[in-house]
Amino acid sequence: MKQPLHQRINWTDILGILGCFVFFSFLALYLENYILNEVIIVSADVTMEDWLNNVFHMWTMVGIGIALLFIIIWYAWGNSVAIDRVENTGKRVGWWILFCLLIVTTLASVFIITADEGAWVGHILFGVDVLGFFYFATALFSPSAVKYSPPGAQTLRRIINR
Amino acid sequence: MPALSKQLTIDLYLDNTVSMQGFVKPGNSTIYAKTVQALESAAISSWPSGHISYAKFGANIAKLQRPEYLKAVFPYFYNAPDTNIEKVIEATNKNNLTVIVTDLFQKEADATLLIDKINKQCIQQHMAIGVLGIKSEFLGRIYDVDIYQNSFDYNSGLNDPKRFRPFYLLLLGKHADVAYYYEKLLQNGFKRFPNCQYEFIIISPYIVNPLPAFGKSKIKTIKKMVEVRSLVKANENDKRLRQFCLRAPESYFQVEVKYNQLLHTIPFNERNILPSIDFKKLKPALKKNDSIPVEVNDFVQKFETLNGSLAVTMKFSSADWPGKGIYLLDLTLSPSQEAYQIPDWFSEWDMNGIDGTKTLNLNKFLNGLWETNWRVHQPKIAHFYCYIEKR
Repeated sequence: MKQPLHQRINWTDILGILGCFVFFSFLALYLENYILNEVIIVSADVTMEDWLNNVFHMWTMVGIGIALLFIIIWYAWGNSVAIDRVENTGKRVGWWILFCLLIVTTLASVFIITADEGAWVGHILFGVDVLGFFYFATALFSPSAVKYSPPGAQTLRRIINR
Repeated sequence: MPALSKQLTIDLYLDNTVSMQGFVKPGNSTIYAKTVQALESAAISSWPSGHISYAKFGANIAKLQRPEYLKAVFPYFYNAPDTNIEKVIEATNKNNLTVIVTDLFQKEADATLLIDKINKQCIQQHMAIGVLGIKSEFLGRIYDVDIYQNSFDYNSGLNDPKRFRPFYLLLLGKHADVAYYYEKLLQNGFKRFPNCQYEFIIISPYIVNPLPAFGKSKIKTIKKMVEVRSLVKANENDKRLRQFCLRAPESYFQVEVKYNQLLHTIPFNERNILPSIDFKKLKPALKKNDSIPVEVNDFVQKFETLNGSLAVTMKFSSADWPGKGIYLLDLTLSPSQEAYQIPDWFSEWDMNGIDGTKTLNLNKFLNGLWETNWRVHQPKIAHFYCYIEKR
């Protein structure tokens, strides 16, 4: 018999995912400004502040929001499957499907994060924020049934002793 | 530019020397006589709650009551043997609008003296000078037309405007008041006078209004630098200001400057714009916060006319600047003296030989007035500030 939902949710995982969200949002909204301010050259009649707010911050937060949605999907799905004793290839494929969809989102940033010069730095940082958030949140805070499905999760968990 | 006055005192001065008599001798319906009446009605319609003072001048100024002023359409009103317009200029109040009606009869030395008086009393007080030349019927004597002080009788007749003799209104006051009063004069009077030829010019510290705001001007291209807002906490309402960060030792931007030239000011050629620059380091400041000696050409690369506006390319070669920090660049654009296209009527109405349709030393007077105004004010078409950060 399945446990009720509230008993299946590991609140430490939820807090961990939220922590990742806060960390990558902080990275995107504050820390990365220092890099972008050095390399980005915006087009005429746009100030750097406007570009950061209306282009980079906005779209990166949209990307992080999509990653969060995928994490929720992953978490819900991971909670609904049974715990296997042996590694299950199907679960790993599920994770890769979500990750590849996020890579597509990251590639789309090439068309929406534009600048006269240095836009590639914005694309890389976008990728770091979106893919990094999804990877670390799923590698460290997935439900028990899928906790080793993200590649490198076992090593990562060992490193932080989780 | 100061705004139009809501309430104003208008000081009307009529030149009552005998040289003016000829303008009313053909009758009291000459263009001159009708203009004298229109001056008052234009003043009332321009500033209904304003105050009008009347005076006549020859060698001295004499205050007039309104009924006496109305007698200016009769020849006997013009009985002063000598003229001293300089005294009227001295009496000018910069808060009022002074209207002087005269034939600008003056010897060469008089013209220089008059320009000097107008310079001290008006130009240096940021007042505008409107000169309205109007041709009117004339029957009388024209005095002192050459160095031998010869005079001659002149009859323009009543029907051929080409033979009419010019008289002038000098309008001294705030630019907006001068321009407004002129428009009212047009509406109230001499525009409707048949056969009336007139020319008008405003010589003023202002040639464009409003002064284009850098903050509202369009940056067409920008290379190796970015615009920012947060370098210096500046007054956000100050639209003259823009802030930039340099990303490379060689960078530039091109800005489009759109301006509206004020009506009746002397037109200028956009290809002869004179930029002037003040450049200093703000943070960290140099020892004495002195301006850094720079050439204008170090910054202003080129001017182009683009669809009726001016495109200015500013370049920044920051390698030689004294270190990292925030710099202030103050750029002023003014038409050079050569840029101005002096109206043809200055010379066409200038007396060269015995000719009753022209005015002695007019060209010298108007050119001198304009040149003095240019020297004192160098009227601007743009004034921009940039804060620039070198990293």
